[in-house]
Parts: sequence; C-alpha cells; structure tokens
Amino acid sequence: MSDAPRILHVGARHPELSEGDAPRAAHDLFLASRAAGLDAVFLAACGPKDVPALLKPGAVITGFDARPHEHLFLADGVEDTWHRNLSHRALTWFAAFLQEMRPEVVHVHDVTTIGLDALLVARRALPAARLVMTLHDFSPICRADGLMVRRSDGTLCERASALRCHQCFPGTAPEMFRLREDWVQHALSVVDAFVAPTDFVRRRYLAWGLPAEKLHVVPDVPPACAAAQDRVAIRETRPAEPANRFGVFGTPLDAASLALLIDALELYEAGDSPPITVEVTGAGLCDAAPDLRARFNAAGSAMRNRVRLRDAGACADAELPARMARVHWVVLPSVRWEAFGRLASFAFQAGRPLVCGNIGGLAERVRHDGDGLLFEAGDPASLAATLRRCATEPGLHARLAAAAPAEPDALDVVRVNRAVYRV
Amino acid sequence: MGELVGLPAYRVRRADVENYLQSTQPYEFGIWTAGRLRRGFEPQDLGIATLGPQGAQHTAQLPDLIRKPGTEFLDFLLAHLGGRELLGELTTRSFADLDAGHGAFLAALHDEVAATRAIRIKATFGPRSPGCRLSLVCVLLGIPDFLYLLVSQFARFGPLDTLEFVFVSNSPELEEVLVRDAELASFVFGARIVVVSLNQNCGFSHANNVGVAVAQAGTIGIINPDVYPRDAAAVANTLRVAEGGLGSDVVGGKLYYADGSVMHEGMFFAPDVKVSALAGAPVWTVEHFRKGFPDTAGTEPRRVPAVTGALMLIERALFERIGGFDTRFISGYYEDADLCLRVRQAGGNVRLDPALAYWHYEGMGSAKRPAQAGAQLYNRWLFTRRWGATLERANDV
Repeated sequence: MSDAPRILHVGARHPELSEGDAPRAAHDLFLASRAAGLDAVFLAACGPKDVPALLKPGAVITGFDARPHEHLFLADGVEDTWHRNLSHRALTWFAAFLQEMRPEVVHVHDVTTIGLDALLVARRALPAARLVMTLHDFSPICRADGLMVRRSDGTLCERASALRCHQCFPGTAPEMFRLREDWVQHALSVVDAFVAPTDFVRRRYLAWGLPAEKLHVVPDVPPACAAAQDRVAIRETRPAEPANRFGVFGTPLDAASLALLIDALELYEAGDSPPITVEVTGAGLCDAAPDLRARFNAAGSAMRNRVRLRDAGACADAELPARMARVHWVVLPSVRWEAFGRLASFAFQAGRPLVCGNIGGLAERVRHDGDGLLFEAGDPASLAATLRRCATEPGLHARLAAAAPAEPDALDVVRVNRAVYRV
Repeated sequence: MGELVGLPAYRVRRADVENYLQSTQPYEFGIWTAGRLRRGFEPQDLGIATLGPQGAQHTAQLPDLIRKPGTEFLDFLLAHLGGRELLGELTTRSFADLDAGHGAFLAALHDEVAATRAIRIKATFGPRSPGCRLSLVCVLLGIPDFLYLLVSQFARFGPLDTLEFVFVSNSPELEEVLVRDAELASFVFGARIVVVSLNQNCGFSHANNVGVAVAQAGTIGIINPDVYPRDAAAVANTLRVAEGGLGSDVVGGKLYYADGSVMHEGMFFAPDVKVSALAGAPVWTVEHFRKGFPDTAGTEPRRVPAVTGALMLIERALFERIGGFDTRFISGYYEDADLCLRVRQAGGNVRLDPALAYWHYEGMGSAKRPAQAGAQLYNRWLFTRRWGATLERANDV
C-alpha cells in the first residue's frame, strides 16, 4: 500500500466513543477508502474528559484499541465560543504528527473537536497537501451547537446574521458574531475543497459565503452493516397488508421530535382511522427527560383505540435492518435540519418507504409520493394525516417500496471523493 | 478647619462585621473617611463611635484598623461622581465641586495610586523581525479574547512579518490567559507578540506609554482591541503610511461601525454653552465629525483638529519627545485629544487618512466599570481647565 495516496481523516469523534451520524459517516468513509486501496488513516478527536482511561500522560496523540490505522488526538481544551484550541502543546504535536504522516490529503470532519486553529496549523505544516473538509453540520455557521435552530423560540433558522445570532445569545453583542464569522471564514479559507453530503448543505454554505468552486456534493458512504452478515435473517419477507406498522427511528431522537410524534399520535387516536402499530427505536427515548418519558408512557397506555404504541428500546446499527424489516414504514420525525440523514440509507437498503419532514437533507433524499412521503416538518396534524394515508391508501406502500432508490456503491462514493481529493 | 495633612482619606476597618460574616478579605467591610485634619493631628488619634437603636453606642479605637486608600477608593469616588452626572443638571454641580477642591483631591489620590504602578510580567513570543515596520500597541482591560481576535483579524489579510503586536494589560487577573493566547496566536498566525501585564488598572495613558516603550518599530500604531482592518488595502495603506515616515504628524484612520456608517473621521472641540453658563466657567467637549452618518465624505487625506486614540499612527521619537499620553488623565477619555493638541503645539499636524479604513466595534473591547463615567467627567474637567483658553482656535486647521 506504500504507493497508494495517504488520506488522513481528522477531527471526527470516534464512533466507538460517540453517538451521532457524523462520527459514523467519517469512519465509514475511512473504512471504504481503505477497501478501495487508499492508504487511509483515521485520527479521531477525543477530549481528555470524554474517556479518561484513554489518556496517556504526556501524549497528545495515541493509538486506538490496537487498530493499525486508527489514532486518537486528545485535543484538550477546545472552547465552544470561538472553537479555538487553547492548548499550544496539542497544536504543536498535531503539526508534528502531520509532518511525520505526510498525507497527500487531510480530510477534516469536524472543527469543534480540534479547533479552527488546527486548520491553519495544518496548512502551514503541510503546504502542499490538499485540505478537504466535510460539512457534516452547521457548526461553522451557527454557535448554537451547529443546529440552526433558534434558541429564542425553537424555530428553524434559515440563515445566520450578527443580529439573529445575538437574539439566540442575548448576552453576546451582534458585533461579536461578526467577529466570529470573520474568524471562522478566515480559518476555513485555507481549506481547498468542501464536501457537502446533500445539495441542501451546499446551498446553505454557499449562501453563508463559501466559494462555489470549492463546494462539492458527495453523499455519505452507505452504512455497511458488516456485523449484520453474521446474523441469520429470521424474517426477510414484508409484513402482510394492511401497511399499518410504523417504525420510528432517531439517533438520537431528541425531545422535540418525540413530542411531535406523541402529538401526532394523539391526533390519530382521536380520529376514526384504522388501527396502527408504532414502534419507537432509538437511544433518545431511553435518555429522554423524565417528564417526556412519563408522557410517552402515559400516551402509550391511554391510546387504546387506534394506536398501539410501544418502546422498542435502543439498538445498534447492526440490528437496524431487522428492526426496519418488521415494519412497513420508517418514520423519522426529526424537527431539525438533517444534513444527510443516515437512517434514510438504512431505510432505502431495507426497502422501507420513508415518512419524514419536508426540510433539509432528508427531504432532498426522499421523492415525495415517489419513494416516500413528506409531511410539514414539525406539524403534528400533517404527520397524523400522512400516517392515515399510509394506513389506508391501497397499493401506496407497494408502489413506494418498489421505487426505493438504490444506494450508491461505497467504492463509487470513494471514487467521487478521490476526484475531490485530486489523487 | 486646619490644613490638609497628606491625603486625608482612610479605610476604617469593621473587624467586628468581618468576624461576624466570616469574611476572608481584610477591609472588605469598613467605612471610607475623607476629611480635613489639623496639622499635627494623626489618624491614629481618631476614634469611631456608632449609634445603634435605643441609643446603644459602640466605640472602637482605630490604630491597626486603618489603612491608606488605593484604587478601590478612587474607583468608589469616580463611580459616585459618574453616578451624579447621570442625573443631568448635576454635571454643573460636579464641575463646581471639581473646581472647589474635589478635582485636586482626586488628582492627589490618583497620583498616590499611580505611584504604586508596576509591570508584573513581560513575555515575548515570536522572533524579532528585521522587516518590522509598525508596532501596534493595544491596551486590554477586562476581556482577554481580544488579543487573539486582533491578531487573527490582521492575519486575515496577509503575513504578519511587518507587524509587531504589543498588548498591555490593565487587568492583572487576566495575565495567565493572555500569555497563553499570545503563545497560541504567535504559533498559529506566525506573529511577534509582546504581552506586558500591569499590576492594576493603570489607565489608558500609562498603559500605552509602557507599550510604546517596549515596542521595537520606529512607528507606533495605537489601536483599540475592538478596531480591525476593513480589508487588505487598509493594512497595506497603514504600512505604506508607516513606511513613508510621519515626521512630526499624527495620523488617524477612518473608523466604521459594523453597519458601515461612520464612527470616526476626525474630532473637533465644542463649547458646552449650557453647562458653561450654569457653571460660570467655560466647559468644552470633544465631538466626532459626522458620527453615525452614512459613509459619503471624501477619501482625500485631510487635516483635522484631533483624531481618536482608537487608532492613531505616530513616530516613536515624537511620541517620546512630547512625553507620550498624559498620565494625569484617569483611564480612558480625552487623552487622545490632549496628545493631538500637544503634537500641534510642537509644530506637527493631525491628519485623517480615510485609506486607513477600520471597523470600530466601539465599546466591545473592554469591560464596563462604574468608575468610567466619573473618570470621563474628571478628564473632561481636566482637559477643559488645561486647554480651555486655546480651544476657541483649535478647530482651525
């Protein structure tokens, strides 16, 4: 593999240590790149407080669980106002690691873990390397955890501005957000190419000021589910008609999405639609605040006529195909902007039509009434009406399921990334 | 009443209250005293009596319960003075009071505090660059973030090898963060950065004078922590002006609010007719031309009566010859206008060059303190008394 171009993936949290789509997407790309013959190396970021047992005194970068091409960057002290790395030592050793690894490409997956300064340091340490960054979320644009959901009233945010950001953080003057944008854009200016997993993300960043010629749309590598191959498939056939079994998924399923779901189901219960079964899968429900959890339980017990609601608990990636196989529909009630929507890939692979909100990357991946159904994001009445249509319209499920888009081959996705890498 | 004995102000410690509330800071609870003592009368001779309900009386002997006042008392008095100004017509009374002796009292107290000023640390990061053309001197107060921000804002527009950054901190509690950030910024942006941390809030004048004294370049740029170049041209023009030599002049830039309206394009002197009439003596103020107006004025460099200390370029030799900023001003107003007038007195001009286009996020760069309004009032009084007679003609340039 000595002749293969070396691609160093940096900044993502390790999926073994952290929840979320971005760590998995980054790691999947790393694995697929190695499978495609690239000399890919994964330098995951990890705060020293995340897993104290992994801390090695005096070492900034360490190995990871005896895996030959995976390392941990113990990037201590990245603060979340300016996304600055406050450790001179961490940055110094990061630069030394880059110079020793000499990758042709440094592929950055997250800057909130390693600090924006790390980009400038990487640029100087490796002047000839190509710096590529995947935009897994909106952290560069939005200080509110990169979600672009307004803290003032919980509504979706369409664009950042000094005034609008100040409204989310009333203690911080608008001018400070102007400075934040200057600083973030300066740090990102050394990146040669940006990868947006959907056109929705590309448009957001284009509007924010990233140059069009640097922005590329490349989907995430489809999840491989290697572990699933070691399981015996118990049920491969679709559950029988009517198509009234719904699986609700989320990683994590946040409180607002869960509240939307319960509201919609209560509306459904109050109507005269045929009975449905709803299974909720995802860590979010296990971790939900006690009052929300209590509401879920109460709603489950109270709904006796039209809705049978049950908690299917958390599950690992490898179990997702089986969970999806036993329902007709995959419902993603997310009320946030999803950059890509990794769960949609699972649904497509399982041949289960998606029901999701009409916003963001998810809405881009689903063709409404073609291979899935969209509802007005955040609107319980719209979701309830969609569930009713799912359960009552003859032939709808078979038509949408048959049209499920083929997921791209992982090696093809790597090939498109290589074009962005120019290696 | 007798003559003043030294500075007749003391902190009387309420050890009983400290004990009761289990305070860990000596003198946290106490009473400020300011009065006139007869010559030969020592503070140790004083006693204190407090009256409680139903005539209960508590007396205390003062030896070992007193100490001389410092910054704390000065800030207390200034906050009081500034608070009065907010009541509008009391400005007039404040001026009368300052004339009647409060001014001399504050000056003496300020001098006493000033005598305890010291440099705690000086740290330098990055090599001395032979190509350094301009030392930017920036005074920090209360908010450490601006060190890194200022350097990063210049780094947006090109390499920093012709610049040196000198940060002088008036907040000793920030020094650890500032030294950390200076090391980081020097590493990340390839900048030469000097950090000087003072032992107390020494004011704008003193801190700048300290900064200029340690700067390496022949040309100095006095810059506020919330002033940033608008674009690459602004930096190039600043360096061009610095390299061209300023001679005996001081040059200011054109400053903009974040919305693009004009924050500064020179300052002029205006009599405050109402307050002058009420106070029975001339009172002057400094105004900015077209502050907040749309950006429509010309781009030609021009002479102006004065420029703001938020951004001014001056040769180090001239700065030192005229004695730098006057340290008799307290913390942050009128020092710049005073310096400009002294440059003109020494035969130089004050120029405004719109090619030096900078943002000024005015008021963001330092922590707000209650003493500020009082310091502004005191400085206005000092400035008026010093220049009053000449300000009539000072707008002619």
